[in-house]
Amino acid sequence: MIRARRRGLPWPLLAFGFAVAFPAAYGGNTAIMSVATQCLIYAVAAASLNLLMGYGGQVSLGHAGFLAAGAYTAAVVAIHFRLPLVPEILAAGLVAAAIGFVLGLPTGRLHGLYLVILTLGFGVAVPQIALNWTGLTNGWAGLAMPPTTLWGLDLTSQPTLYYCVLAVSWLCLLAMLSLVATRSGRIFMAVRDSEAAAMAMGVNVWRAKVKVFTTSAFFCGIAGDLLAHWTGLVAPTSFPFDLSLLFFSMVIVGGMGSIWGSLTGAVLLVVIADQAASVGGLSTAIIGGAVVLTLLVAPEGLASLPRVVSWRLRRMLEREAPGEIGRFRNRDQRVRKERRA
Amino acid sequence: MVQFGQDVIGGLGFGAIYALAALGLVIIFKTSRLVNFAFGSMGTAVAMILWTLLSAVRLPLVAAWLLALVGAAVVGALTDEALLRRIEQAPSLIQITITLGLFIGIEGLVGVLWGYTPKPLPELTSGGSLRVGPYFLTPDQLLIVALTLVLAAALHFVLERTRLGLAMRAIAQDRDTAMLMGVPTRRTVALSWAWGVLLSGLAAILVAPAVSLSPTMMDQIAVFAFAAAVLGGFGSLAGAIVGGFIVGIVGNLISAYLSTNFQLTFIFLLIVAVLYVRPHGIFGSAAQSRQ
Amino acid sequence: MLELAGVSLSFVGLTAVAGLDLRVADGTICSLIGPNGAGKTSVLNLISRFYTPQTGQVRFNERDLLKLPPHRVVEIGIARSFQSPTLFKNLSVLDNLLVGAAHLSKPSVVEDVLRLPRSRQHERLARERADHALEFLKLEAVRDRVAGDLPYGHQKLVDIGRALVADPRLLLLDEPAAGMEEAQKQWLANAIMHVPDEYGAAVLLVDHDMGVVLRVSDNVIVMNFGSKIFEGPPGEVRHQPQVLAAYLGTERGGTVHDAQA
Repeated sequence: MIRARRRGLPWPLLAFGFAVAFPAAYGGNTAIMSVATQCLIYAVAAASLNLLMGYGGQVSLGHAGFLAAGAYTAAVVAIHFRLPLVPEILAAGLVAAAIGFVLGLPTGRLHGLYLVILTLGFGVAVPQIALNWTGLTNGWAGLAMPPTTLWGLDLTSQPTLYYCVLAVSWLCLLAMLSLVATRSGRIFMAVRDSEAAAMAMGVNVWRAKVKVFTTSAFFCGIAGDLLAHWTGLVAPTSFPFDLSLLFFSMVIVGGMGSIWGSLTGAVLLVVIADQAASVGGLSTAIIGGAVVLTLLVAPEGLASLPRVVSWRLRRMLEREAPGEIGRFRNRDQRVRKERRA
Repeated sequence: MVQFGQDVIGGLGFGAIYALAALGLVIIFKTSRLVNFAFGSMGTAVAMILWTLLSAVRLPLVAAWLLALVGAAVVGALTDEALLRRIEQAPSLIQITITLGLFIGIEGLVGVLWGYTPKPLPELTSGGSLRVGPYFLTPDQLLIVALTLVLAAALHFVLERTRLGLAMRAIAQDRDTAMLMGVPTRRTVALSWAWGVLLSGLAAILVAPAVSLSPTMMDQIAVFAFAAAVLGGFGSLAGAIVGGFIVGIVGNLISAYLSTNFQLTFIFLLIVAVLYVRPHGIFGSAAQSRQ
Repeated sequence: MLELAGVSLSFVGLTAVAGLDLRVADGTICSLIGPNGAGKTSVLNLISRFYTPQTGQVRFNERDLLKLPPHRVVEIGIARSFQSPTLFKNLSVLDNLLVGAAHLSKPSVVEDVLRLPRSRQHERLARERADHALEFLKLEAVRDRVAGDLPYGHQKLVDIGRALVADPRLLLLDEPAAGMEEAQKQWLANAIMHVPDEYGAAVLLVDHDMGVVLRVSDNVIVMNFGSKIFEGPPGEVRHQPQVLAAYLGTERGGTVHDAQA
């Protein structure tokens, strides 16, 4: 869960620098660039799920459904309307958000297990709908993304695609960070921690839950748009239930309630899946094992590691117990009188 | 009309499978308040073990069955003892998540150990269809339905008439009080896990001849069984049985009259509709589904 | 300002509040005391709309409170603390306080993501109010600590602080001094006394600690079995025989202070 703010190395900046410099070393290797692009796309999807789970306290086992909604919107918009990239991305996000809004509506009435079954059903239904709505989705064969250009750059070639995805995904991550550091995000977390107290502080709990669903779906839809450009083909088989579980695993391994944790989890699990792809089932086994291990050893995920380590270090260095309880010892301590601003 | 009746009967076999697996989920949920999301892949593993015992070790059928089911029970008890006990104090979201992790991990492991080539398990019975009035039934369907009903009755008996059942019901009511009253909570919870996973394994073994044996064979069945348990109100044996048969029959009717491809979608629509009217399932009460 | 008239509330056969009349005047501190189970907390839960009474009226500044859903109560100026501190336990103390300001202005999700002026304005205002509450309740040292990890007494203060950040005209406090040590209680009583002039809010206080109640209150209401059995200034409470009877179950000489001891 989210903890208080902390200071330390500017990890996000370092990570961004690394991501920008990455193609300098591997730019020529299309396979590696493709995996790197995948990492970024999945990071946005995982972070969006984290927004819902880690911050909103809701569960979704069907986030691949939002990804599919975004990807299909991207393909349809690109093929039929020939929109430029930026409106296309927004359209993908908005369509997914609209679906998220509708799916979020019953959250006022359904909790826990029932929410699990609702999202699970959604995730399973979307590929089936895509398969059968052939007029829009072209059924089994799927939709091929037309070649897209941005400012004259060809987005089907690497590392151009990588840089474009990097820019969009980083903006998404920063947007989510901005959200959780302001009123909206605090309300999501407040509802997660205590619905009664949130209500007493003027929060419409149901509306907050619908909002977190909608927002989460919006960002996942954008990830879907990026995915469409990355794979070049949008087909029903690209969004299996396993994918929802993969995002779920990324959130857990990276740490619930940490956007950067989701980036870390996504990179780690995508790389594992890529490296273990030669043996059938191996990557799945490792990922499942990683989830179990994380929950047993560090339930707050990879994101908590720097804090836990630095806390241990500081304890060793300072050996100073916090003494704020003593503040109340002074019987005559006067409350400072100041006029209200 | 005869055709419609035949389609209803066609759903009974799978309905019984969903009911069995749902029973496994409910038994575990009753004592530990947790959904064992790993039940699908655990069941697959049991079926794979059975396949190995039959084809590689060449045990006789009954011995192989017994061994595989005992293995399932042991896995269930171990899951509780070795994993869930260690995070007893964690929020329920974390505890549920660990069973999801197990689901993924075991499915992968089964893939690594047994591969993805579909394997055949022999049908349980031989011979042609039976004729009951205007309807046809396969002997396997009949066996599965009968077995499910017998097991459900036996479970009901255990729960209502034995010390173990009393302990389970006490824990389901209030775990802390039960412990204070001298109920052996740890053992009872572990036992309910053993029973629960055994039932999942049984469901997998029974369904394996109808679908081909592969690491992902239980994925869709697990989703249906989970849906059945939710529909029944999670926590009631009768609910699990009724939910299982409803899902099985409605599923079959949807494939017969609407579209095979939309089966899952419609089932979920049905469940969401039911839950909207009865937020705690058909047989559920608010207390049972409180997380 | 706050006015309850003939309010009754019962739960399946159990009467919690029976025909209660209660008024809290602007800028005053009113205390609600009584033995366990007298219905004090139920009164607070009525006012914050967690419960709906079967009969009676609850009005606040001439508005019918019973027409509002619970999350609108704070908007018209009533904020509360809880009997057992109900904090957002994974958030920092500061963030807990900031949530108190959530109803003061409502920038949308989009405005928050893009940090548009309305969002920045809200953050600035919330931060100002939170800083003031931190100073008022001497919580600066624990500002960045995770609320759920704090000792009980501190959690109670954060709970009160969060309600103060909400800029209430009426502050409901449910046993704020429970579980605190003596020195802390004295300090808290002092702080509560300063709420009307520091925050411009009246206080409706429920507490068991007679020392705190008698020290801070302008008006004391004693409840037993859901009804009011006495109302008056703190100086008179301790000598009322029916109050003693309620606390002790018998009519016996002595003062309420003895009853507490």
